[in-house]
Amino acid sequence: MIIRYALLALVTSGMLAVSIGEEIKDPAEEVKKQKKLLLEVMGVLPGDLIVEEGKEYFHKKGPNGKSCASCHGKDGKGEKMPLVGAYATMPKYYKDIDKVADIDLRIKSCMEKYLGYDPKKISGKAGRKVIVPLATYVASLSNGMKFNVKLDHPKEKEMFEKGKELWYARVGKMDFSCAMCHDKYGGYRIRLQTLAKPKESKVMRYWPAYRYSKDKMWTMEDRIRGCYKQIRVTRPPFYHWAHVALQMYMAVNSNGGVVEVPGFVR
Amino acid sequence: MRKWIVSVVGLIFGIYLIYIPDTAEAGKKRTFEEDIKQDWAQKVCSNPESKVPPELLDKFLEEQRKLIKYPESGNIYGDWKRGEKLFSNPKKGNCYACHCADPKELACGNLGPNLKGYGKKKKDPEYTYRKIYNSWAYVPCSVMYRAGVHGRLTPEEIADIVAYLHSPESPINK
Ligand code: HEC
Ligand code: HEC
Ligand code: HEC
Repeated sequence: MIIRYALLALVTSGMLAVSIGEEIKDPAEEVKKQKKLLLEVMGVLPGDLIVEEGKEYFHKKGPNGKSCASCHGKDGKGEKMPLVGAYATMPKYYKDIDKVADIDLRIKSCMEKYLGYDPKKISGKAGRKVIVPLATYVASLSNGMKFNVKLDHPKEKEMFEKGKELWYARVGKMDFSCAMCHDKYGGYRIRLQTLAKPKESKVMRYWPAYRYSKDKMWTMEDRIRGCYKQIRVTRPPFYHWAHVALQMYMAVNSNGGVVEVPGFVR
Repeated sequence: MRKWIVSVVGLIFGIYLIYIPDTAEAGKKRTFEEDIKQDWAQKVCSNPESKVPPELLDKFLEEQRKLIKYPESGNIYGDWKRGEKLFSNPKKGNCYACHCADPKELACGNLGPNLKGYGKKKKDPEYTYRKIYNSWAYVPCSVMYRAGVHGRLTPEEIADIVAYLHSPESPINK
């Protein structure tokens, strides 16, 4: 226990030193600077490498010998079931799984149902390693198109309503809601972080996004889990309905926004 | 060679100690569904305006006031030095997330008012105690969480923070 706390203290004091050195910067300028810096150093943006990685997975055979391309075509441009433009219409109700799905859940379902993956093997971290790049790649196939999510099916309407409810729900020991941080106090600073306004910025159009502060590609499910963790609410597991519901709400608010994936955020 | 093995095993064990959850926490594994259950006040506040409907306002304020408890000693003015630590600790008060206070702390948010010089302007420690214990007893649906109601701070800890905000010796009032 003592060792544990000593090590923890070491790690946190390191973090503290970093945060003290930090000063208040214009967040938009900071993002631009980081992007330029990465491009200069690496010659390519890390997010674009993840898209390439996703493309490779897309054409690789799964346990049953099929690949995503077997059904959706080379580069997702098949005559039947093309994926070009698909992301701009998601989340959506799918008959084959009788569920409204976001991109993460839709891809996981295809891997289990159509590529022969053992659900147990891809439900955790190992699955994320493949699903996140695949989601980024598939989303990038909608680049340049306008977000256009509709609420035609009753289950889609239901998901939207649940998402709206979650967005405004004050919950947990911190009494927070998504709306308090991102509508009412959007643009304010919590500690040193400027709060984003996801509805105004039509956030779904630039997610999945590369987070330079973590050097990680995140899908919206990772982002939602991150926000619940910040407000000390037990995070919904990946592929939980809450992810689909909140994204349905944010996607409708993103309609009209032009897809530009992968995004590049703090 | 032996020493080498011992230190590697020691290092691995150290890393293991960091990553295993506290046994106390592991015992009560909570779920998302449990954590998003709301109390009556949270439900009332869950609307786009984050406002209590006028017809519920009296009941709301009365209920929130009733939730406020005092330290057994009756003393609401504790130790400002302990209060200083609680104020800044992200796992306890986490007050800097929203308030600037001690001018030396630059990593402070601006959702709430700057508390620098608070003790010079505000002279009623009991208000401060009650406000921190249950912020919604004064500003319904405020973004400031109800630290005492949720047990994130004990009455004694809140009393320490009251002293930190009011004491003339506190860096906040210097
Ligand atoms: C055996 C055929 C098959 C394979 C292989 C397959 N899928 Fe699918 N996929 C489907 C079907 C069927 C649907 C549902 C189509 C519908 O209802 O619109 C679908 C839907 C999708 C959608 C949503 C499309 C839209 O228009 O909304 C995405 C995205 C997707 N699949 C990605 C993938 C990925 C990534 C892989 C590889 C991991 C994959 N699929 C493998 C059959 C397949
Ligand atoms: C305590 C405040 C807080 C709450 C409550 C909160 N978030 Fe966040 N959220 C943040 C912060 C901080 C970031 C990171 C912003 C940044 O890095 O600029 C963020 C980022 C985001 C983003 C990405 C924005 C962008 O432009 O890339 C989305 C989307 C988001 N949150 C959704 C949610 C949802 C959905 C909820 C409710 C479940 C929620 N947030 C609750 C603080 C919060
Ligand atoms: C999530 C943001 C947030 C956090 C965290 C927070 N506050 Fe506040 N606080 C506010 C806001 C906003 C106000 C103004 C509206 C109100 O009174 O609720 C406020 C008001 C106050 C006031 C009343 C000021 C006055 O002039 O009457 C005091 C005192 C106060 N906060 C102390 C604290 C202390 C101590 C903590 C830490 C235990 C804390 N706050 C944590 C947001 C926050």
